[in-house]
Amino acid sequence: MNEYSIIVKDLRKKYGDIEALRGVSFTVRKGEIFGLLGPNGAGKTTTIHILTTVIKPTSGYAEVAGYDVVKRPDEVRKRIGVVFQDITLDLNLTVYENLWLHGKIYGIPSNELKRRIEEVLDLIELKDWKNKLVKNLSGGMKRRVEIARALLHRPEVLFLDEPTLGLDPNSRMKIWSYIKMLKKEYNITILLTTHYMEEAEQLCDRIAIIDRGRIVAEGSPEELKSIIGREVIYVKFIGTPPISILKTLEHVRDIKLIDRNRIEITVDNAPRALPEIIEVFYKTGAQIEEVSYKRPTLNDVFVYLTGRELREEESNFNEHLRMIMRRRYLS
Amino acid sequence: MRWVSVIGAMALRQLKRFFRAKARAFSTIMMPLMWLLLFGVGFSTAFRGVGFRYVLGTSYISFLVPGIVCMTMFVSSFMSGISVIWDRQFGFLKEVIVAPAPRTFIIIGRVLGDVTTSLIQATLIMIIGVAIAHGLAIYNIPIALLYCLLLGMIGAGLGTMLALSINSIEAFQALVSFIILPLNFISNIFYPLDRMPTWFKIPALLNPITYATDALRVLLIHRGVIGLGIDALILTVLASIVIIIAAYMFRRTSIE
Repeated sequence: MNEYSIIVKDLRKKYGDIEALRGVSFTVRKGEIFGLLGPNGAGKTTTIHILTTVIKPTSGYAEVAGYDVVKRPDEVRKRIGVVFQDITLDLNLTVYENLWLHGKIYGIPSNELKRRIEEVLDLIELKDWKNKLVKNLSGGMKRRVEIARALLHRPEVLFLDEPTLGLDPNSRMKIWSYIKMLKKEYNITILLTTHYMEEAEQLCDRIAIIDRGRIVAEGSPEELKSIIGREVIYVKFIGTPPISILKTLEHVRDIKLIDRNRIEITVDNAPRALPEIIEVFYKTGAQIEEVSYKRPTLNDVFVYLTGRELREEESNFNEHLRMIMRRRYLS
Repeated sequence: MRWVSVIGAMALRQLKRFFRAKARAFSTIMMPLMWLLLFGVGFSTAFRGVGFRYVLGTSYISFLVPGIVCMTMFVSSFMSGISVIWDRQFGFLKEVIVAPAPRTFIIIGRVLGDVTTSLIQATLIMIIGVAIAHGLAIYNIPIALLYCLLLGMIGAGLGTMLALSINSIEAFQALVSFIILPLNFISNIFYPLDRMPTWFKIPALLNPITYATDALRVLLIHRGVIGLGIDALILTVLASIVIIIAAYMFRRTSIE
């Protein structure tokens, strides 16, 4: 029936006179992994909170699994699994008890619940830890338990708010592999937020770049990178670079001399253009000392679109604090 | 019967948490125990033979036991409201907020679990009381615990209401002593209601602890002034009102 799992139209959220969301719209297709990529404070968590019925939007429309999140929150809640940014497990219960409690609250019958707990514990490879108190688990393990718990009631849509925030590289890789497996084996729709571009690139079918409460671009990682398009090849010569010879090549978009013996060549596809370029230089007898090339990253896309780095979050936060303090002392 | 499993699961969770936080359990039971042993025994021994029996119809310590049992029940269940604030701070509240289960069942489960832990503590105090005081009608203890249960619902409901309206551990703890101490003294826990002047009786009769203590005195030392029927009626009505308000507040709570 409905090809979309999530439909968001002109969503706005105000906290006092601060506008956290300034008209956000996007759609997520069934079975897709969709990423909201943006720095801290961009409005990612606010969006997730609205879509998971935790808070109400100031205006706009949002639909999850076919139901309006404001008018039919109970129908939405039955169909979603949520992993919030902060741990929401009961630290004084064991892994098993946390899963059991969740199953009971979601109305899973006892026999079925036992089976499903074993199944999700298998999935996240924490069977040996099931009788340990959650407070004794590492951060990565807690996150895995949260993912297991969110899957227990077989949701149609899974929300992951910064699923690997603050985790070590090892735990991060593990969580990535679980997310990939979920898509492959369960065909579940996933909306995740992140400010790690590698994460968005690795996992997402489509990404919306969000900044200051607005979506500034949307598309597959490849489409987004094609906004910047060009890839850049750097060639360092021994002696003077023979620039003029390249003008005959059709792949080459632009050539610049960076310094005395280094040039920058802009092309559409560096790996494909390189052999030809090198061959041409070779024929002229020029001596190449070094070749390297750079492909655009999502971070470059973000910088291109917003004029700032994705990882500016710390300085932004300080700036934000200063603004709050200033406002307080002035008023 | 899905709601039974939601209520049961939440109640069991509260119980498990209680038994794992031994320090908290220990500290909540120490206060009434000290009242009973230090104040009760000291007071009744020091003023032995000055007419307690004439006024109370029994020794002071026997008179005090029902009061201290009710104090334990009320204070312990009231304090349990703080777990709502803990859940908010440690994130678990979010798990409950996004769950499809009606929040009324969640809160009823919590309250029942907390009241059960308070009942365990009150029973413990009751056993110690029976051991040190003479002539308590032990066979009435099961019925007495039913009155305790009602008082516990009121305590846990009020504690939850306070916790939901202030959302700060520090403020809750500071307010508790302001609320609990006068509530304990403006009641019949330590003195017989019928000997008090009217200006004292009126606030004491607005205090739910008074009715539970009265009922326990009727049951355990055969000396109450209000009567089991009225006590039961008032406690039931109050418990219902408080739970309805607490559930209403919990349904509307958010994490904004």
